[in-house]
Order: sequence, then C-alpha cells, then structure tokens
Amino acid sequence: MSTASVDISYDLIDGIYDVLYGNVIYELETIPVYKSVPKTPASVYVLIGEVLGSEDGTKDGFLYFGTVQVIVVDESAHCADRKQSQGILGVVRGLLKATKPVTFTCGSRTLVVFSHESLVPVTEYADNSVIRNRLIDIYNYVLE
Amino acid sequence: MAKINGTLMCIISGSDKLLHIDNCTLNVNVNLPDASTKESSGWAEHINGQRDWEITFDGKYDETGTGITPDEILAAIIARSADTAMKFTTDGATGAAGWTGNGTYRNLSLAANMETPATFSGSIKGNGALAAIA
Repeated sequence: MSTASVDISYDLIDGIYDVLYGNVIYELETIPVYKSVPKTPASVYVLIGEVLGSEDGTKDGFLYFGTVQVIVVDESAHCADRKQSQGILGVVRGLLKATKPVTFTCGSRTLVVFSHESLVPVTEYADNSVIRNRLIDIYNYVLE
Repeated sequence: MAKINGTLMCIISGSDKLLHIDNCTLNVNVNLPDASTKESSGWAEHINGQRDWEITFDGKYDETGTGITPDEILAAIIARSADTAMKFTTDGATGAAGWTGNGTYRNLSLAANMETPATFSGSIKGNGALAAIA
C-alpha cells in the first residue's frame, strides 16, 4: 500500500488500455480503443470512461476503491440494433475478466479486485438520423 | 476540546507495531459482584471485583511489512507463545503515550469474501495489570 495519498485514475486507465488495445477483435475487425475520444473517432470504438472512487486502506497505507466505466460506442448504424455493440462488449469482458479472480497490471500498482458491477445501455437519436448506441459497462476496482 | 484522530492510535507488541490494522479497540472491565442485603433498602449494591482488559483489532490481510503481520500473530497463537508487553498507544513511533500491560494473542480470524480485499480480526487478552504509560 502507498504511504502517501495519490491519484490512481490514470494508472487504472492505462492498465485497462494495455489489456484492450489491439485485442478487441470482433468479426475479424480490430476495434479502436480510446482513453479519450479523438476529434474524428471511428464509427465503432471502445472508450475507457470515468474513474470514480475514494480511498480506504489501513492506519499505515492507502487503498483505493471505486468504479470505472468501459464504454462500447456504436455510431455505424441507422437503427438501434445493439447486436454489434453487445458482441464487442462480450469481447471486452472476456479480455478484462478471463477468469473470476483475474486482475491485470496497472503500472507499478497492484490491482487487488476488478469485478463487473452493472451495465447501462444508452441509445441516442440525432436529427440526422444517426443513432449512437452506448453500452456503459461499470466495473468495481480496488487498487493499492 | 482536543480530539484525537483514530488513525494515530495503534498497537505495539514488544517493540513492533501491529501492521495493516484499520481499527483497534481497548476494552477495560471490572467485575461488580452483587453485595445487596436485606439492609440495602431495595437498592442493588455491589463491590468492585476483578478487573480485566482486552484489545481487539481488525484490518486488511497482508503478509508483508516490517512489524507484526497477521501471519506472525497466527504463528504466535499456534506456538502458544509467551506474553509480550502490549501498548495501546497514540504514538506509533515510540509508544510514549497510552496504556500498557502484558498480553497474549487470543484469537485471529482471516476472512476472504469474494471480490473484496481479504480481512483479518483478532484480540489480545490482558494478563495482569493495565497501566498508563508515564
């Protein structure tokens, strides 16, 4: 455990990115993974979203816990079909949680717990009839 | 009024601090045997009997660190180790303030719930007097 309080957000984002980048392959296509959305994003991508959290630990060291979002965004269709985005989400989950107790490397930090909490599906309709499907997967983390 | 941050309060066993603790409690009791008689006018009366004390603690399980780890406490219980001088102190560095007495590790529990950090809890039973650290 760290003896000084720090911000672990980017360590966690980097850790998730390293697991997913280049490995999210759906129907023979590699899906881009972003830490932040570029000006001209792909029509289908995975975005590592917000890290929310607090600190815990012991009398001697800090432990950090909270939630992180991993979002599948699909703007490729003109209908609200989620089949593709759900398929991609399945690939993402398999990479992040290949087995029940698995955790991954987050820089110099130890990821103690990484578990799926909930899924929030969002469908947005724009005036130009473009539809954006967002599947927001929320994971719990405990990091030291 | 001066308040004390509970983070500062810790347990020292011999010269080593108990590690990875997030909560510790000192309990001090005195037994109060009933001394009521027919002359007590219907009021319960007692005398001051035996005193005892105990320290309980819990924390996040970790095998590492320089000090007393949960594994070392477990080993001490299994070995039925002799008492050590315990301090319940606000001064983790020197143990210069608080309370002290000889104590024995009485129990240790390790808990491992799914998808949460493993925890431990235990207690130290006082063996003899508890005294303020001068």
